[in-house]
Order: sequence, then C-alpha cells, then structure tokens
Amino acid sequence: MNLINFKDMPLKKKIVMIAVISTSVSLLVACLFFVMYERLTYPNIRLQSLSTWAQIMGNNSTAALTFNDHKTAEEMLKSLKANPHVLSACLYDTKGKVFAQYKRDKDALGYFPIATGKEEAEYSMGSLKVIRDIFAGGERVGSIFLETDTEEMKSRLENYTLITLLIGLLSFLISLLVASRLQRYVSKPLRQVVDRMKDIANGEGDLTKRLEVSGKDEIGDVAEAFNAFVGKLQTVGEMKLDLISVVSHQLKTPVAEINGFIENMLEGLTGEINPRQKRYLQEMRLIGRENYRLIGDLLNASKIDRGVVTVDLKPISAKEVVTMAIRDYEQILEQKGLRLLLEGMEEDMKLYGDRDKVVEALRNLLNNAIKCTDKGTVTIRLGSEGDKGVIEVRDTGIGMNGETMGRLFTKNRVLGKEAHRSGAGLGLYISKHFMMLQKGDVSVTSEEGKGSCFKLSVPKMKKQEGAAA
Amino acid sequence: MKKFRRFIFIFVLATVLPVFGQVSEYAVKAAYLLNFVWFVNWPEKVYDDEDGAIEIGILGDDPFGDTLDNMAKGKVINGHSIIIRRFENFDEGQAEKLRKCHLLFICYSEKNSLPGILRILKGAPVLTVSEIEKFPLLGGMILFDQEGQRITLAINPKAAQKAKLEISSKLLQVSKIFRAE
Repeated sequence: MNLINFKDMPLKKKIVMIAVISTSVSLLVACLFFVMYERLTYPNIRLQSLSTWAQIMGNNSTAALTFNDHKTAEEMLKSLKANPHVLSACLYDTKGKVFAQYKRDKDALGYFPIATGKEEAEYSMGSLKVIRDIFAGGERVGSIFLETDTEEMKSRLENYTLITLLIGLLSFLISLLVASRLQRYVSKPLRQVVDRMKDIANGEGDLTKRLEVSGKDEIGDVAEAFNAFVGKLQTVGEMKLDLISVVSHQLKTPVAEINGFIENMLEGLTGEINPRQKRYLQEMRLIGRENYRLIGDLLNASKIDRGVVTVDLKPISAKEVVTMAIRDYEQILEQKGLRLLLEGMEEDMKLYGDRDKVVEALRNLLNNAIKCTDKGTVTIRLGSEGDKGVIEVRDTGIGMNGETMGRLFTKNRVLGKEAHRSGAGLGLYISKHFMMLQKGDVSVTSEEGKGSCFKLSVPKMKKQEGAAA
Repeated sequence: MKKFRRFIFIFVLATVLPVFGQVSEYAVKAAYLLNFVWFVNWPEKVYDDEDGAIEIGILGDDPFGDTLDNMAKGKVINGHSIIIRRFENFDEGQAEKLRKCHLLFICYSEKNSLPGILRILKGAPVLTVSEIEKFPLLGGMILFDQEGQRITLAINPKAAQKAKLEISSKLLQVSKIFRAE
C-alpha cells in the first residue's frame, strides 16, 4: 500500500484501510503477547511436569537405590526410551555418585551434573533439566536427574506461530470484507453530497431538488446545510428572474414608445428635418431597436428560466416567416453594404410550429449574421431534411472555432472575439429553447475567418394537421 | 589438570572401595534389614499402640555386633522407633516372644532348627530374614544372597502373604522371586 498517497486516496479506501490496519495491528499485538506469554510460561510448565515425572521415577527406584540394585535401576531408566524427547537420565546414591544412567543416543557425551544434594530445574542450551531428591519414608535415599530436549516446545511454538499467522490472515480478509461493506454508510452519502455540490457549482444541478439526509451524523449535517444553501440559492435565483422580468417588462413599453416617436420624426410627421437631424435620428433608431431587442431577449430568457414559455402550434408558411423576419433588417443590410440572398423561396413549404417564435429565432440568427459580417453576403435558404423543414442562414463573416461553438447555445456564454459586436448574448440561448419547444432545433457549422451557417429546423406540416387547419 | 585430578580421585576410590566393601558386609546387611521396614506393611493390630516400636529379633549367634544397634539408635521409621531383641539358640519356650517380633533374623547357627522355628511362627505376622541357603524354598521369606561382591535378595512372596504381610512391589522388583513353596 502506498502510504504517500494516503492523502489523495478516496474516503472509502481510507476507511477500509484504517479498519483493516487497526484490526490487524491490534490482533498482531494480541497474538504477539500470547506467543510471548507462551514462550515465558511454557518452559516452566514443562519443567514442572518433568519434575513430577522425575519424582515418580525416583519413587519407583527407591528399592533399587536402597538395596543397591543397579540392574533394576538401569532397566527402569531404560523404560524412558518410550519417550524420544528424553535425552538422558541418571540416578545418584546418597553420596552423589552416579548409580544408574540412561542416554538416548549411545554415543552422546553428556556429562551428568554432579548431584549437589540440591533440587534444581533449569531451561538452557535447548534442553530442560531437573534434579530431584528421592525419599523413602522421610529419608533421602538418592537423587534423580532428567533431561529432555525442547523439540516439543519448538514444534508447539511453530504451531502457535502458524495459527497466529492463519488467524491474522483470516481476520485481515474478514475485516477487509466487513470494512468494505460498512464503509458505504460513510462514503456513499458523502459522495452524493459532493456530486451534488459539483453539479450546482457547474450550474447543472436542478435547484428545486433536495438531497436525501441519510442520518443525524456529520454527513447528515452537511447534507442538511447544503440543502439550506441550495434553498437560498434557489430563492436568490428566483428573485433575480423576477427582477429581470419586472424590469424588462417596465422598460419595454417606454423604449417602444421612444422608438415610435423616432419613427414618426423620420417619417416627417413633426415637420421638415435637416439631413444632420435625419442622420442622428437614424442612429437613434438603430440604438433604440437594439435596446428593444435586448429587453425582449431578457424578458424571453427570464420566461424560459421560469418555465412559463408556451408555444402556439399552427400550420405556418416558411416563406411568410422569412418575409416577416427580414423586414426590419433590410435597412441595416443596406447601411452595411451587405447583400441578402434568398434561396428556395419558389416552393411554398408548410411548417407546423409557433410562427412568432420561429420568426424570433430567425431574427436572432439574422441579427448575428449581420453583426459578424462586414462584407459579402448573408444567404437565407429554405429546404427540407426528412420530415423537417430547414431555414439556413449563411454569412461570410468572421466565423468561429469549435470551442466557441460548444458553448454557443448556453446562457453563460463568455464572449470572445465577437464580444464587442453582441448585446446580451442571449439570442441563441432563446432561439434554441424556442425551437426545442416546438420539436425543432438550431444547429451550427462554422469555419473561423470564412463564415458561419446556422440552421433552423421545424417539423413539416403533416396532412391531417393541414386538414385540421 | 582437572582431568588429572579426577583420575587421581577415581584411582583412590577404586583401590579403597573393595576393602571398604569387605569390611562392611554385615553393615550393608544391617542397613538392609532396617530398610525392609520401608517396604513391608504389617497388619495394624501388631503394634501395641499407634507409636509402638518395631521389634527386630536376632535369633542365634549374632553376626552384626553393635553395627545394627548403632544404626537403629534414634531411627524413626514411619513414626515407629526400632527395638533390637536378641534370642539365645532356639527352643520352643521362646515361641511367644518370637511371634511378637515384627522382623526376625535367623542366624546361620540355627540352620538345623529352621523347620521348628518356621512351624512355631506359622500364622504370625513376622517377616523372616536369613542367610541360610534355600531359605525361601524352605518356607522363609527373605534370603540374603551373594552375587560376586554384591549382596542380593531372594523373596518368597507367598510365605509373606500367608503371614498377612504386604511386601512392596518395589522390593520385589529388586529381588529374585521364589514362587515355589
């Protein structure tokens, strides 16, 4: 496991790792203590049993010692052969002289310790040794010495180690399993909160939705706090939309009135105007119209955001839509010295959609095309693709790169090159929504420096719809 | 140097021991006699009281001298002190006293009176010990025998059993056993 990356590790891995490590460590410590305890106490237990054994053997050899019978004593010691762990044994008489002896390995050197008349038990040099006095009716008749190897202890310790390792491995696996199941209770709710936060931060989340609060723990608190935060955000958003809606609504009428007066003055209804006045008024008319569009865009965008836009679907004529859309732009085209080309107008294509909204969308496209083009042509072409009618607006303007195209139809478009040319930048956002509402679409192809081509598609009228109309 | 010392020690021991052994044949036998008390159980009623003394009788010409008396002096075995009694050459009049002994050593001098001795002891809980050849075959219980330098024991367990004496299996282990009567 790479501990260096522990900081960057996902929470669920951290939880699993913490659980597994703490389990393993505590188990290891416990096992270590057991093994240590075993190592410390087992020799004593063995020595005790060896000592008991020596006493029994000694007790059995009292007669042999008392009546000086070496043969019987030796035969008795020979019975130790049955236990292969006994290395050597020996009986001493009362004076400490070796009386009888036994060696497992005939050739083993094995000096027998000189009996000091003291009882001893020791664990050293890989063997266990005891010396016990032998009594017959309260009188010491000799001593016995027994020595065993430590193979039994070794194999016991090996078994212990093996068992410890097995238990360690098993508990490691179990804790891994349990922890990876239990970690979900922590990481999953947190993941949800984090995902939701990211969505909101990216402006993609639905502000009306609330997180499910999974419990009363810290994560639950975070979820709850975040829900409150989103609620606030939603309120602020709504307030913003309301404000835009109210303000634009209030602005729309006066601006329309000003535009009307300008129009009247240009028409000469207020008397003769000199050429300079006319130029100024024309300029004002342009600005006025632009403002009116801007306010209209804001109003539409706020309507879309509040979800209060409705469409009125009717059979409409594509030709009529184009005629209506270009009406306000002929003058500007003329002023900028651009040529407007109309193609495919011969056929009277019938569409099924909301006329005003298609016209609005087409106006937006046209507006953009004119803004972005300084010389050359703007072409409007009618055509059809499958069951859709298509209105294309092609210009020979500055065009755009792929990156720009990607965020073209969003509200938060940060404008690059064309920034100085545009208004609020809401036109395409509105157009897209308007077209989507009537099962149509807006798409774009463009090449930087050569111009763009926007395409509106609207469902064609079907026969029964036409009959109904 | 250490090895040399050990060699000297063993050498001295090897020269002294046989002499020591020869001198102390009856000392060993006396010790054995006392040791028998460890390995034999008498019926409870043979003691005068709980701490009653164990009586060891010597019948005939005593070969022990004062060795046995010195060894027995102050010795307490299983809570019983030891009393040594000596009897003149056997005659029937001693029967009562002989039957009261716990252990009776029959000296070689009584070889010819043996059948009579054993007859009057019949049924009494007296452990009989002797040096007389074939003693166990003749109805005695323990014989001091000799195997080279070593003093060995031969036991007739059946005779002991008849006298209601329990001889420890440990003692039997180090002895030659006579099954025959």
